[in-house]
Amino acid sequence: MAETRHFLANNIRLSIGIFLILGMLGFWVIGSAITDSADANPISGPPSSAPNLKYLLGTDAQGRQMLPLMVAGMPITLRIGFIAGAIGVLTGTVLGFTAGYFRGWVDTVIRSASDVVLTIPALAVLVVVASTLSSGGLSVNSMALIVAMLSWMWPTRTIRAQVLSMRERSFVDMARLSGMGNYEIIARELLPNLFPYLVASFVAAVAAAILAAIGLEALGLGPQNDPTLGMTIYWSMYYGAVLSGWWWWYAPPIVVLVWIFVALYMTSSGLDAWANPKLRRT
Amino acid sequence: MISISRLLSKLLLAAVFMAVVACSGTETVVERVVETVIVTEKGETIIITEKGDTVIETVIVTEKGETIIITEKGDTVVQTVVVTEKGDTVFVEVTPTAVAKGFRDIPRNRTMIMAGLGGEHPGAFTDVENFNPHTAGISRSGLYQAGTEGLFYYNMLTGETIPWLATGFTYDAGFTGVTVKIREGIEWSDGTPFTADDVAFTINMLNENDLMSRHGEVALWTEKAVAVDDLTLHVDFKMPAPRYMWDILTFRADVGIPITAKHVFETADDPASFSNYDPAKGWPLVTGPYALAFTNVEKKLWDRRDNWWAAKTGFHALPEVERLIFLPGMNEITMAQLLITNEIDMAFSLTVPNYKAVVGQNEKITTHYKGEPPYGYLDWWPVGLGLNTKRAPFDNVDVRWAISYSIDRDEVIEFGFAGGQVAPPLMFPQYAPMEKYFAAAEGLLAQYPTLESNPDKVVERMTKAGFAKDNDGFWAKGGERLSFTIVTFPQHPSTTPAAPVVTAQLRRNGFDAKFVLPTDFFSRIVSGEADAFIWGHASMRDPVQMMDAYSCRFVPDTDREDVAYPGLYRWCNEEYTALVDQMKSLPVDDPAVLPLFVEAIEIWLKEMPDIALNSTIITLPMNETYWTNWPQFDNQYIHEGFWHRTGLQIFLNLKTVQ
Repeated sequence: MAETRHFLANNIRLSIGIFLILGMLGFWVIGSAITDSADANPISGPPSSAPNLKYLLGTDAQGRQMLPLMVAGMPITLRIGFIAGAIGVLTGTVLGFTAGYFRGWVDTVIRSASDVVLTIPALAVLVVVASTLSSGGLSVNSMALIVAMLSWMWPTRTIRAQVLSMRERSFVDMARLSGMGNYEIIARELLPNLFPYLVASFVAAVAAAILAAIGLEALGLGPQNDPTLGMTIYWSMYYGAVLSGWWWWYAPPIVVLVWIFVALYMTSSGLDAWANPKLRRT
Repeated sequence: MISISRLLSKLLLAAVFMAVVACSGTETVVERVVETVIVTEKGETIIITEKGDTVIETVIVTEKGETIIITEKGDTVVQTVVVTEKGDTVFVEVTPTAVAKGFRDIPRNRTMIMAGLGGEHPGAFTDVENFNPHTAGISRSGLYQAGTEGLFYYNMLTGETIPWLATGFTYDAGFTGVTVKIREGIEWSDGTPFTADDVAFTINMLNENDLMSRHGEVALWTEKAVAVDDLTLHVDFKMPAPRYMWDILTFRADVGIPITAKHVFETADDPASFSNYDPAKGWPLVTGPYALAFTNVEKKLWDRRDNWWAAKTGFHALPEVERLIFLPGMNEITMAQLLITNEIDMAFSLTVPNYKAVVGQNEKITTHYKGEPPYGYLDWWPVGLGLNTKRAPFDNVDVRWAISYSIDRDEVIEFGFAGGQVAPPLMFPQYAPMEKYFAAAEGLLAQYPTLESNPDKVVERMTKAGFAKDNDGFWAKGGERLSFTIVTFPQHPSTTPAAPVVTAQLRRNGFDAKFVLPTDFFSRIVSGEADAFIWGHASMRDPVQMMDAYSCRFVPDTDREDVAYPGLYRWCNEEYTALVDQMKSLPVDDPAVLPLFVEAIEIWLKEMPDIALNSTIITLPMNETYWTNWPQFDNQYIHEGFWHRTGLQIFLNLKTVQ
């Protein structure tokens, strides 16, 4: 416990990240207790009401209550990020390890594929895919899968680079000489050593996935029937909330998104420092 | 050099317009009129050359008195024109002069700028060099309303018909044909007289070419059109067509075929793919007071023609607006910002909150009702919740009525449109000529309350249809929940805002509904993929057009076959269809239409194939900084839809402020 406290004291960014994530959790728990998720839907309150005692964060033009909307929207947005980020990092881990450890033609194929896909403007592709697949209305999970389509390349590249470096280390040679097979070396030697890095990559991938999802949603291509933060921004733009001075409509999703991104950035950066001693302050 | 080989009895007029003004920021070279020459002999040949005898244009005169328009090309400007006596060779010295590229300068206070059209071509024009009004996908950016004129105009707000290129018409006995009298003195922009032959040619061309727009409606009724003489047109019908002039040859909102120049279109190998664009030849030819001056993806400019036939004949004075600029579809916020900064004079519909925000920052912005509710003008397109009635359970009248009872129209208007719409009980607009139909249906509407919101009746009707609520509170039958998706436009002022509210109301009443706003909404509706959809209904002078959309002739065998527009509802009642067919066989104003309407609408109400939601009120902002005399409730000379064919009447009536 004392060690953890000491580590966190020396890793301010991770401490802030964890604090902000715990704050999000607290917001969701308390928010869920004091609000009804049904109030995040249209016609649950008066239209365009400024914040007051009854509607703490006000309502939008279609009568969605902003506080329940934020309470419901934050986990949905995080869910999209976590699903897409997990798929991206998992795929990247498999491909990165395969390319970096076995090298040869497999490496050439995987590296070329990820490099080629990286050059494609992701948002343009996602817009086309989202507008094509939204036949019956996109669900939160299908939205996450769409974003996940283009979230594997960076993890693949960076993990491959780490594995390339690590496979030349002496402890891997020792493992090989002691008779361990390739998959055993990967599972027992490389993965544990790369775990902090993978966690940091995952957190970064979650942030990137959320950003991609928000971009799609702000264009009206998100799950239109769910109270996500991006769709809230879309409707606020549709109704000209900025022009009309309805700050309570567009400000809450922006604040929550900033909260999420700062939390994830701090956490990722702190974990990176944990994984890479050279980045530590002391 | 100009060589005139035939006799010239008098001095020819040479007028040089040296309006050479730079348009910085564009590399496009625009040709414009620099000289007008009146010739007197048919067959005369005029050769226009640059200095150095390079021929740049040859014009063969086909009619005595024809006006030849010489345009500058590139950096060449016609400077002087000298014509001597009959029989002599005439030299015109043309000196190349460096001029700036672009279109001529016209001050802002003589220019009218419109943004957004009717919502189409968002972001950019895709028809930059296509000015064939008979092709699909062409934008409503000047060709229809600035260059083209109608034989007649119809003011949908007042019911007034305005004769324009034609002076009147008479149907043959039994409505087997019609004779139309064309106004005298009309000319195309190249000086060629506009005659009945142009009208006959256009009708026959559309009749024969199934790839051209509006072929279907023309071919349905037209046998053949003939020019009896220059000012008399006769059209033979395939069957009695008492609404022909109304349906085909009257400009009203977006309807009515534009007449095109015979001597241009007859040169086209394929009229359907013909671009009708050649600045060197002055194409597109127009009869209207504006000619195309510039076109690119960002804007279209139409400049006033001072030799407009109506001004020459005294039929109508030249408009005070010297230049029209049409900007493509854009989002509301952009339009609002342009209005606030006086960069535009009109824009497509704003939501009421955005309108109020704009007025708060620019008091010169007004609307049809001068800033008072309901702000905008009543469009001819009331909106309903359509259902694929070939698909269970929407084939059940009780389910359809239950859905109707689930909807609170006041809430839709308050939450969707901030009060900027009304709810008509029948799906045609409450224009003056329509009032008698609403009055005739009053008793039926008491029996079939199309606007009633009543949760108890939802339960009653759904129970009668065999449904019960499942554990989650949604209607289900045989263990299967009734789930459906509502499709509508991604951005339309009278449909999109309704979708989330209607969906929430349906869910509140136990229907597992959701909505989508896809870009391919129309194909989903036509193909039958959509279970339900929010869509409008067109009628203007009587309800026939709206009622015809429910005719059996549109209905395919299954719920997933394509339907022909406007038969989107897939509902068929033979008795109803027969009544509507009888209405269609009568002239619009025939008193026998009304009793047929009552019989038909009773069937429609009882069956409820489509559910009334809200009107389409277009809150169209108009800027009084540079222009006044806008069409408003106390001055309804036309409605203010500038993207419609009737837009010309706006341009002609505006008065300059400065």
